[in-house]
Amino acid sequence: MNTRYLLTGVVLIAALAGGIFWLNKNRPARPQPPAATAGQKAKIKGGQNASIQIVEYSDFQCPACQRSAQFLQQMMERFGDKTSLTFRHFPLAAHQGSPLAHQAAECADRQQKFWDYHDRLFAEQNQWAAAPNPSELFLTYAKDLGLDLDAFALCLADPKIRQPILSDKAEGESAQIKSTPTFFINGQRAVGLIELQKKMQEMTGVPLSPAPASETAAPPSGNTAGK
Amino acid sequence: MTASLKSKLPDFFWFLARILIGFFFAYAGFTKLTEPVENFRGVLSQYQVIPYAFLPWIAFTVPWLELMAGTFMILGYAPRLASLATAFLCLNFLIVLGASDVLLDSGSKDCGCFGEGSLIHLTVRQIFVLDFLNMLLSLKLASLKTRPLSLDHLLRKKTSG
Repeated sequence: MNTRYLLTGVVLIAALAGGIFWLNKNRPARPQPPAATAGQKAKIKGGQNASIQIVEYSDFQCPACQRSAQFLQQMMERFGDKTSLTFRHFPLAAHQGSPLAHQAAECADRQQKFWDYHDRLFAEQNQWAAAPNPSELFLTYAKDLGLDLDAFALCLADPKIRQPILSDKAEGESAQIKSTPTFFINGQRAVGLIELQKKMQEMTGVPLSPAPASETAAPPSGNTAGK
Repeated sequence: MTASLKSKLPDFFWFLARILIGFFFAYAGFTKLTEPVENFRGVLSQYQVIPYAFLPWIAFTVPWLELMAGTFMILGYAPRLASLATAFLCLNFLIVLGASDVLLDSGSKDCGCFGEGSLIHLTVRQIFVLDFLNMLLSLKLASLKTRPLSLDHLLRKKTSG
């Protein structure tokens, strides 16, 4: 192999590396995990000055998000005010029932019952995700939680309720979120439940038992944003 | 069909195979490299085959290897090395897919092989078959003596001329 041959290789590698660095450098700056999208109230629970602040981009119809919600619930109970959780809508195009589920959760938020409704949607995911028309089930959950049903039904039919959902999703997309669940834990990105568990373990210093393999073996990027 | 055209068909076939495999790898590397590295790490972690300590290193290295090997294949630069590299990558992908439960449990789901924001989405089963074919083709490409329409051919011709 002569010098000209080697030099060609060096130039090729330099051009590729330079191209990638240039593309990444010129990409619009990724927003840090959101304080709150302008004009809307953030859905936060946990301590106000928590040392571990988690922002979650989630889809109510995604099974991996359901498992993550269970894990996060345990973490919130275990660490109390040391943690806070902010929910961000990220309904995936592949999940047909998801947009309406997110609207229902927003409507529950209008009656200060977002987290109860959130828990109910994940708990009953298999039921409503399989239903051809889940609206009635969403109304049933609202009734069970003691929401004002008339207001809830009106809200569900109001196209304006989609706005905060679309706004969250657009914000997530600008942060290059492509699958759910994606978390920002004190600003550090973690994709999927296993990454979340590892990050939480690093931050708390407490060994956290991973969920059983059958539960964590979510399809690799099976919950990706349909493009 | 004339005899000379017939004799050129195998060359054309291997040229096409080289370009396709090259594009496949270069695109896979490119999409991952233009996304946050955590996205690919998240995909890898879900296979639950690779020890977690190696994931950051692998998530950083593999896309670069894919991009370099793929581009070298397309251009025909160091074609034997590039073919062996793509065959080696395919073998590793096959091992990871074969050793995980994902192939059986979620074979019909997106493999995440092209980065999550990619235009190409293949299921785990599809990518398993494709990786197997790519590995065989890459090994055959590595064994070829002549490589028409390649940078390698051009550079060697200039040197000998």
